[in-house]
Amino acid sequence: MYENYRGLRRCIVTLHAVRRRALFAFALVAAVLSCNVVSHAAVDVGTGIRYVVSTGTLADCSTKAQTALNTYLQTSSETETGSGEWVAYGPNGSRGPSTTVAATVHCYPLTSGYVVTFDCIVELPNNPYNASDLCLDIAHTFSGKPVTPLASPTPPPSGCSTSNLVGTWTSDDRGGPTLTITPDGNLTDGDGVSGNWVLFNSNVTLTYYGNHSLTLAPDGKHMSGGGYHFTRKC
Amino acid sequence: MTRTSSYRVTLFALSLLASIALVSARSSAALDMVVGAHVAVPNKTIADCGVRAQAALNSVLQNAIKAGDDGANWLAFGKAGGATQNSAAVIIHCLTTDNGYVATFTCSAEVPPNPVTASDLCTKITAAFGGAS
Repeated sequence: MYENYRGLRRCIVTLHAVRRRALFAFALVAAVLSCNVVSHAAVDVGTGIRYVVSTGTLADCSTKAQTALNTYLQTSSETETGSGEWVAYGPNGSRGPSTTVAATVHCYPLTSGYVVTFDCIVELPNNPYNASDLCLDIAHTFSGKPVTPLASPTPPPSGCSTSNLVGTWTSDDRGGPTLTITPDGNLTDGDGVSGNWVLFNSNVTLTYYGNHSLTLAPDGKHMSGGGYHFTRKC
Repeated sequence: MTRTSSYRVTLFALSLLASIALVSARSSAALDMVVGAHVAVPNKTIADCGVRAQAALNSVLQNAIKAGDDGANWLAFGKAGGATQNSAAVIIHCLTTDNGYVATFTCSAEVPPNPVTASDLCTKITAAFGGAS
């Protein structure tokens, strides 16, 4: 009888261990899959523009190439001295883990003049402009044609807009949290506890220690409901 | 029973956080681009360059296409590791010279997810294109 009890207990314990491991594995797989959905940016390529210049030297081409690249990226360099192949990287001017933009200008000498080509590589959606726009501007800067300014990153919304909750919200209640709310739908309090927000018309849903329904005031500066009262700094 | 349940929930939450942290750490793909060694081919036409460029691109990447109107730029993308978006690209320019043509190579890759670097990609494509003969 005692042996049967011990056997049964061992079996239950083993079953629990297996369930725990299965739970861990499931969580791991779920997390990896969910992260892969939003994972990698795509490589966008701009190419096809070339100029055949009947007068001028390779040195002329190199000077223009360097200037054109430095107008949009930084610290352009020649792959080998005198090669006429110029490269530049962005956004910080260096080739490394943070690189999201790269461009190259090839100068090749002809008996009379030179031929020059332009290639641009841009990670999307990590940049506000695409590779074709970048290459067109580099080529036009090279040739002295008018350029269209490249798109700039959209600045984060500011002020007390009624179309979003972005900003810093201080609780009107003594000892209440201060929430930093960002455009990506996230919020964080002073202790690093994070949550989410949704705004539909003036109806606010905060997921922060549970779901809370609040109402955004017409001034965009106050929201309250469910026992919470917040004022936005703006 | 309550302690067991809370233990499981904690375990689940911890493993979820750990996984997200691990995946986030490697999901920021760095873009790399290199310019390969150019190949000068005397006494051949630009059409020869196009044929070789297309074959070389298709042997390493896929679906090589002409880019631009003059038919002298070739481009192909690669999809690595089952990624759903393009993570590598190579451009070959065929430039007519006074005596034949020159082919230039611009290679780019995001690592990860690409198993090969832009430099490796250029080495493979250049080898597939062949030399001056």
